[in-house]
Amino acid sequence: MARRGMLWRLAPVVALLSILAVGRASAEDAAVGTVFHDVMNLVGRQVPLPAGDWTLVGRSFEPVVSLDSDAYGAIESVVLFKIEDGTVSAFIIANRNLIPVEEGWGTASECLSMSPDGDDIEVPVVVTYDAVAAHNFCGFASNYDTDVKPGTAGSWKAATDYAKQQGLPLPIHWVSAGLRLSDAHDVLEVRYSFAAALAGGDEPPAKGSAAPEPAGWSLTGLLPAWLGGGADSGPVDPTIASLGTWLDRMHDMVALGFVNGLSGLATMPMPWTPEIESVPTAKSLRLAQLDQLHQDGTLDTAQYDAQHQLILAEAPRVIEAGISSENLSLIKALADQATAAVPTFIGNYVVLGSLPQATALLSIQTAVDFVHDYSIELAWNVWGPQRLREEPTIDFPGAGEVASGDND
Amino acid sequence: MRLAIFAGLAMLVAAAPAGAADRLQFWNLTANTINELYMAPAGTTDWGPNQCLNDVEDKTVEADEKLPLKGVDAGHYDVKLTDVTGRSCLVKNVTVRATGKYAFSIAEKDLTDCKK
Repeated sequence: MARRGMLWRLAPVVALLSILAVGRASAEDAAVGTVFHDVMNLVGRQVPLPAGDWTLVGRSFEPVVSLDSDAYGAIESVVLFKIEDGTVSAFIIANRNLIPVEEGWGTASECLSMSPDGDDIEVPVVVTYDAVAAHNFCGFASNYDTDVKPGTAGSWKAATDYAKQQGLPLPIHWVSAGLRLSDAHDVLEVRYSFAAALAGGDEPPAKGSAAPEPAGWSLTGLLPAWLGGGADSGPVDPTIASLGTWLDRMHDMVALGFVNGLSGLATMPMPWTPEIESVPTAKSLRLAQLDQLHQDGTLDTAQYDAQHQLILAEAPRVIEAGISSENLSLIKALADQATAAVPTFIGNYVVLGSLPQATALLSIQTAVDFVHDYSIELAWNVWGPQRLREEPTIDFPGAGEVASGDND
Repeated sequence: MRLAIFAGLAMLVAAAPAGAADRLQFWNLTANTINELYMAPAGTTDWGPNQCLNDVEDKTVEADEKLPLKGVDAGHYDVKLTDVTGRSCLVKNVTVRATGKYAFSIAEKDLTDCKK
């Protein structure tokens, strides 16, 4: 993938700075075995940690394969274990870029339910919070295996070595909730994985998708899956559905962490715990923080009231997933043919005065027009001044791969 | 009437421990599939039935799979198991809990007394 711009011309300088930056970060970074609570800083951004002790067990610096033509497509990856009863009950793998890029970080395979090779992958919960102009924010929940395909991240390899050295049993089946947030320059991806054998509570059976629906009219909601529409929503495993709810609450925390706004906020409880019900959203946490600032006298009543109203007015923003240039062109070409068929047929019949001839001519006109319309639409959508921007799939090295079905 | 109430309460009391016992599960954290698993009160040789037969799918317990236990209460047990590699192991004095997501687990590091 070619990327042009000022940073590209400054690549040698940037590369040198990156080496220096990495060296400095390594010297200041916490050692493997350090236990974190609540928040962990990763290359200048905050990563929210669910309640409990999280032990840093792996760290690596590595290039992103999809960006191997970029001098600055490098990320830092860390793995943290939650250790309970002498077993790894959960782990977090977090990725963060070391140097800003100029054209965004694309999106993850799970956000599209499709591998980079174009194969479908089973992701029961996918939520797109943002997908505009290289700003992407999506969440996903699925089963996840760490034994089918060996983890590719150096941090994960270090983590498995740590588990062996410490005699920690490491499960292989997980239920995982991931959040990928990026702007044109920076990216933060956090995947929270919980041992499948320990996951879940007494959730009632879930029907349909656990993901929140976009508000208002939705184009993709009306389309079949093969045209880029919403996937057929079959029954969702209750454990995954419940994790989807937790994911939706956690996405606020990750968004705040991306702008280093987690200071003073309460910790998100683990999923499937009673405590999760008492910490509904980041909005309530921010309101509590605002109350505290008012009580401390930092904000006067007018300022407090104004901020209070702004926070209350914030609505969850969930957007429909993007549609490809090919599918949008196909839909528009089909719509053109459908709406033009009747007047064209009438015109044919008036001129020719024969039903069979009018019908035959219509079929020829429709076929030729369809190819023409589709080609023109596709050309405008791909190269036109208001062309669609399809985000590339850029996957980071991970710990395993999405699994299908139940593990237990 | 009093007799009926007493009988109902007695049934509830009798049913509660049985329900709890039915929920006990073993979590296989070894590296291999286990195809035989026997439990005996710690220090005895009163081996119970093969618990792997409780698995509804294939009568085995795969790695990182849980197995429902039958006829087992909380306490301390010796556990005898055989895995698909033909390895037979004895794990002594395992604590079985009636609370939590699983009753007990056995990991690779616990398999120190094995023979083929």
